[in-house]
Amino acid sequence: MNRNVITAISIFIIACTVHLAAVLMLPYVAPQDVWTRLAKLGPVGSFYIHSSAAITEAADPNADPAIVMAICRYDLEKAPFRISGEPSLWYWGLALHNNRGFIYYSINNRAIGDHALDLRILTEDDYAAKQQEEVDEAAQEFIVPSPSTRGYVVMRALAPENSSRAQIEETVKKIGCEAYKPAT
Amino acid sequence: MHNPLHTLIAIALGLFLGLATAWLALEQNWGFDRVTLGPWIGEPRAGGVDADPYTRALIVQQAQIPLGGGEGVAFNATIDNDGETLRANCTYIVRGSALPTRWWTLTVSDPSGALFTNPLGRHGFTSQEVARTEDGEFRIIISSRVQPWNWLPIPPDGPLRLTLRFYDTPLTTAAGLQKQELPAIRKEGCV
Repeated sequence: MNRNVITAISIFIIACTVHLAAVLMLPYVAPQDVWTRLAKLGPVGSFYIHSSAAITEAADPNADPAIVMAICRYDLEKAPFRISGEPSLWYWGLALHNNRGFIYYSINNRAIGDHALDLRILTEDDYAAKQQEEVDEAAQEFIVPSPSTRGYVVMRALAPENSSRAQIEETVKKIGCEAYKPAT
Repeated sequence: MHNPLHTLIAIALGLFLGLATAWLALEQNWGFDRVTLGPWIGEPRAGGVDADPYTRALIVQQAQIPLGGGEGVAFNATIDNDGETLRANCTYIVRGSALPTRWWTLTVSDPSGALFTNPLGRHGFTSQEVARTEDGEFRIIISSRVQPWNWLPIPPDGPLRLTLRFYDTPLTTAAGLQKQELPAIRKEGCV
């Protein structure tokens, strides 16, 4: 074969490998995971408002101005976490993100129905152990295993009109997000 | 490739091409989970652990917080229904009727998603507040000049992006989305 053809093929193979490696590895080589980057916004274990009515600060290109967004970071190293409250809101949705920022679970208020919100986040080991126990059918709680020890919960609540935003922010701030002691 | 210099150049070229195309892929969003419906482009699985690698890389790089599948789905449009780029010196009408979702919002921004400041503090409409005709149809007028009814103010010039977000919708799979008719974006005139 012509030497130039071999060179061209080599360049192509190197280029393809580098391209794939760069795209696939990018989420894992970022100097800090999203969990750590969010640390500057608030401590672990409470919801804080991420998108405010001060629209000019909306740096997140995905932020909807009609949505009040609150974030709570969790760390399951010592204990599981519980998200609870009675958010009487038009619409709310919860998304659970792992430490890298990917969503592994999401739900909205229709799935909860008229019940109070009671969502437990466990490590996968704790979850597996819990599966062995008797399941309490009456318990209105959602139990979700987290693929990473650290992660965060994003809550979105709809403000159907601009005037309702302040009230919705107050409601969202009252939602609990804390470590709890499992009853064993 | 007997010449070591020749080999080095080949490797350098391969590295450069690989990195350049990776950068281009993120810059232009080559994600293959995209669903295109007229002018609207959506990525129903954007934030999930099962999103495609381009979409995942892009989300991490831009530190985005996308919608989860259980929450809803977002669509962006930077062109109108005739395929022409949305520009703020034109007036557009977004027209639709009942959408298969419990709530929707329509927002106008620049192509990066940054909202425009305006004295009304209006950046979009929700399905609750939009005024409709008797048969349930809505018309949202996007213009830099004052309009009656559902007016979305924009600056006098520059590129635009419209974002349509569905909250609590069964339309989170590509197959379900393909059959759906989304609101039409029509140009009314330009200055």
